[in-house]
Amino acid sequence: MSPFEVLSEPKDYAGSEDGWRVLANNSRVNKSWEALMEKAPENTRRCYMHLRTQPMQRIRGRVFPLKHKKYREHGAWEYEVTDGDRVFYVPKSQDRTVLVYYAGEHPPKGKAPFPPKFL
Amino acid sequence: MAMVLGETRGHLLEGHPVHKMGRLFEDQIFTATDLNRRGGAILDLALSKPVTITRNDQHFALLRRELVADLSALRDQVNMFTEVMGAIRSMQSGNKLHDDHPYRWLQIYEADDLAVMSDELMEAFAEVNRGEDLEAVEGVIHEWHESAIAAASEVLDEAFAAESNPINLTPPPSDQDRVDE
Repeated sequence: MSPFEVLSEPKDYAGSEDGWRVLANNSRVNKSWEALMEKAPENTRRCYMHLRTQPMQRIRGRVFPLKHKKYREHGAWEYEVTDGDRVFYVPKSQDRTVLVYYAGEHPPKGKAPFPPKFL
Repeated sequence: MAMVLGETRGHLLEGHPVHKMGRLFEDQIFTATDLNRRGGAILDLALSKPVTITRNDQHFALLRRELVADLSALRDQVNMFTEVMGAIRSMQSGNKLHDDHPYRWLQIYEADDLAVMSDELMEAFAEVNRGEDLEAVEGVIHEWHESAIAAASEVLDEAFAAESNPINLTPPPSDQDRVDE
């Protein structure tokens, strides 16, 4: 969607005891996340706060559960950090953890063809 | 949309439960000379509904900016809605979208997914029409397009299949203390 806007800041979770625990699936993912924090500090801060406080809160066009069966069945979500960067994660409500599987540049389009002209 | 347009005018058709806008302009016509002499009064009229200003055989519309913005947004959303719904209907009829079709990415989805997408688009269009979210249709298309890219991405395949040894995600610098507690 354009123009790309920074998401509004989620409610402050300072001192909150009911925040979610945010995990990287492995150290490689965490390194990618750290690189993303260097690149877009404010956007990643807001992303992190969102994952800590309301990872299952949909923001149309920006934070949403993936639609295709392949990831929908795993409960995977996408967070658009910047126009060209994404975080993919799976929130697990039973133990209030968020597992981040990918953080970094928008995945190559692969077999998915180009977007419509208005996007 | 409905908010600004609704302030302008509209009427229900008998036997047809749709609020029809009808013609946007009525017979509120003023000359350019009128506009010069009674600008304030004409602007007051234009606040409630569009008026026409004429100069010789030229006609101009004088109306609120919000109305133009809403009409423009509605046009965009209607175009997107009809284009994508047309593509979905075509696929549901067993047709294949041609190679340079802008919605060829839909082909990654199965029939039941497309039915869900249609429902979401209908709901989004209703939101646009009610003036609740003027980009709702675009938002839904965007999410499905992003999901198509994700589903086709080998990079994501690898990321989700990678060995899992979870560690705390490094918090942003200003949040370090909170997480270390």
